[in-house]
Amino acid sequence: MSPGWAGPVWGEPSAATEAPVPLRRRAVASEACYRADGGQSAEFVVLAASVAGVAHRLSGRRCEDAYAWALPRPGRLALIVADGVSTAGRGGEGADIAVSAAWEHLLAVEGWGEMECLAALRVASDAVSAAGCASASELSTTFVVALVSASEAGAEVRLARVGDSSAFILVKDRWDELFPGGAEDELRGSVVGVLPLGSRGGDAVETASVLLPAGAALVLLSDGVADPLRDGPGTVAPALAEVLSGGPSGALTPLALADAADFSRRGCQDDRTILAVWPR
Amino acid sequence: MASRYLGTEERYAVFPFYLCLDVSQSMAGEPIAQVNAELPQIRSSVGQDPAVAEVIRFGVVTFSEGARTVLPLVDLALVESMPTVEVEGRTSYSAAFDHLRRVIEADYHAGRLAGERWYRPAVLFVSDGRPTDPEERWLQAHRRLTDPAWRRHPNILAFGFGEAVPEILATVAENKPNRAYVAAEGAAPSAVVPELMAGLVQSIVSSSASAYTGSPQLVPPQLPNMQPIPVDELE
Repeated sequence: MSPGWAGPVWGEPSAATEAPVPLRRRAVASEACYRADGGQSAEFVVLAASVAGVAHRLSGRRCEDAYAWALPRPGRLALIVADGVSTAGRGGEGADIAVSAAWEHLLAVEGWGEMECLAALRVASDAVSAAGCASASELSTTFVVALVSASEAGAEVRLARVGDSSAFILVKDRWDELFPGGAEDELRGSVVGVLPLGSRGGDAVETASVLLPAGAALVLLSDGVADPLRDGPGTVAPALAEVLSGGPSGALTPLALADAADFSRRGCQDDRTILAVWPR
Repeated sequence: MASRYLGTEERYAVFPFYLCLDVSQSMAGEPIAQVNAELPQIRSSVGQDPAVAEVIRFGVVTFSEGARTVLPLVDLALVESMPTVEVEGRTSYSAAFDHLRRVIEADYHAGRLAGERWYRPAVLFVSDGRPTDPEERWLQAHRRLTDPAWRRHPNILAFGFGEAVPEILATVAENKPNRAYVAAEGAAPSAVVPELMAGLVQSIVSSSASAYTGSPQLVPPQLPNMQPIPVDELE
């Protein structure tokens, strides 16, 4: 048995997952390398899992992704994912700050549309700026937020993002990405957009909206999952769809989702976050 | 599956590095011997980190009057021994740049067929002298290699010692900050080359780490006996 920790193998396995995970000098629950959660309301089923990538685990670093959901009133759900930029220095901290600020803001807002979606992104950006002051770029993080409204016609979704964390619609085994571009890039490159806004060039805020069809899931992903999903149409994409198919019925547990998020695949060692909702 | 914005091919991330070594006559003696002594260290050092080893691909190109590939781009885990390089003649930068463009283009297409998704390739350019080919010729070749319209254009780190000219190295590195380095005045090649080779390993490892944690960058090494060549950051 390998001394390392890893979930299922999807594609060619990663040799890095065979190495034992060193004991970090300092660890607290809020910075855990493995996090999982979920629950059901009258309108929604939500599942979340976030795991540190094997590269961070082997180097004794925390997971630099963050996520949150907020249910400010029945029928309204916000989902947020942020991915701290590792090379920025304190990206994980920035992701935490951005997610917390947006979450707190969304719990108190009156409206629930594109304006509130963009406002949540700006609040997150301002919070990162304020926390970092002159060194705010050290807290650089991607950010994606989705506001979901349950209605008789189906669930309406408004989204906004900066950076390469993304959102997908999953219907059975079909994935549709709501922000274009990821699979079209010939070469993989650096993250161009981050919070705080204005700390780098090209901080384009993107928006999207969609009406979730019946039986569909909205799935927010950090690039640690989104990249291999795009690159693994015969492995990661169908395998993750199969795992998530157990979500609406309650058959999929948060811990099982975290195990799946920890899949082994050659060259894929980034932190991974999956935050999914199924309207009921 | 034919989902919108999803890929259609199974692909794996790869970060290609090309070491482009000057083997002109001025490298004869201790410098070339040290390069040959240090090359195996790249393989063993990179191979020690499984996370790095599965992402990087490494190739070696040498140049003098002409340029050639002495180690085709490869997974270092599959290399049994590193090549040795030999001193040749003059110092044609245009030969190096033209060869790199051809090799990168060919390797990219071969990689795609093999299911690779590339991070932008990196060239680690090492020279101990000034180009002996006409300036306009090597500048044209350099423009072809770094042409932004060519989607595979590499990022370049340039290192010089001996008779290398800082301004020329800065041009090779596209006048980007912290991309061109020259040995401190008076530093002997015998001190510079081992440090430089160790620095290249450090750069490869750090760059690979930045890639697999989602923020790919070409990370310059720390080199006590070398200093970054200042450039105008506005350019």
